[in-house]
Amino acid sequence: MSRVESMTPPCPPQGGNFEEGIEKNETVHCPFCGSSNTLKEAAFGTTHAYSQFYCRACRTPFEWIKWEEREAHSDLPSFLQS
Amino acid sequence: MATFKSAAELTEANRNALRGLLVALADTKLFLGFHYGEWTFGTPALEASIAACSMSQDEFGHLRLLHACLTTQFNMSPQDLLERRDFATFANVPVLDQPLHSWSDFVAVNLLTDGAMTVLLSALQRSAFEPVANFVDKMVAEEKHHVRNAQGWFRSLATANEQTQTALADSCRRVLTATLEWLGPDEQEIANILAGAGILNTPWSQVQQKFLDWVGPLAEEHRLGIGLEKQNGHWLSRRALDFSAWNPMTRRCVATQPDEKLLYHLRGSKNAIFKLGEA
Repeated sequence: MSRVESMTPPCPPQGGNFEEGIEKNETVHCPFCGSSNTLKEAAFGTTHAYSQFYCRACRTPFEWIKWEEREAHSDLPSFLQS
Repeated sequence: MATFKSAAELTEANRNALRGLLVALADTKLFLGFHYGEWTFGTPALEASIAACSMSQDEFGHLRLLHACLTTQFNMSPQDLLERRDFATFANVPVLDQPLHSWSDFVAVNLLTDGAMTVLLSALQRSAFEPVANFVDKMVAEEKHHVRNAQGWFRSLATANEQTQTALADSCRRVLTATLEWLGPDEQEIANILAGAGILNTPWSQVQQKFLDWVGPLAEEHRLGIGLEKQNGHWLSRRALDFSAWNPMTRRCVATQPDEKLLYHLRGSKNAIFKLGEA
């Protein structure tokens, strides 16, 4: 993982209904098993940019970059989308 | 298209052109890393400090990769590239010659200068020159986060109060001019040679257009005048730069150079006696 991924986006994406970096109807998937059966354990992780989650399916804790799900698929210029 | 495993397989013209471009890219990343590092403290938000510090580490990481390539392929050591050079030969984007005095300067450099380098890196992906192709994908992957950070702050400042918008627009106009100066004219021998050999995956004019077609709509979205206008579906600089005196080695139109004190600090000259592995 790049060190710069530890940064926090300067402001939440516009137009959503956000609580602690997560849109209320947003599902966070486990990066290990892909399950959506996840539980947020803490609003902050090793840096402000992260929340701490626990996957009930594979019983693995993981960190999640706030707004990652939304930012991963949008907001990048076309030359970076390949 | 033929591929090249080392610089020894390149023609002399290709070798000189590629070396010039890599040195200019490395110089710019050196100064980006320095300025980002300086802004580890004093940002408007703690998260921005973390981001600046992280981006600085990324830039220095990229610098090491570029210097390693220049050492193994072109016999230029980091000492040659950093310590034993005339100030006037540095080929960084000129706006980085001086400290970044305000947060709007930082955001403008993060978006425009760093962004232009990322467009260039994307043009080096799948390069016919394998030593570059081997590391450039990783750089581009890391630069995506720089782009996100820059776009986020640009939008935040562009939607803030009038004073902030004005400061951002002023910084962006100045940084954009310097960045376009570094990118140089549409037609330039170095770029033509590199594109012809497949070392760049796209002609230089398209590199510049990709850059402008990204930042133009971003500025327009927030009605921020940064010196660009749309013509025939593409974004162009309102003010045509005069490239008649453009030097392809320093990528500058006028003979400017990095601030002496800044370079002294950046090189670690004050602590030269503590350097390891040197007599």
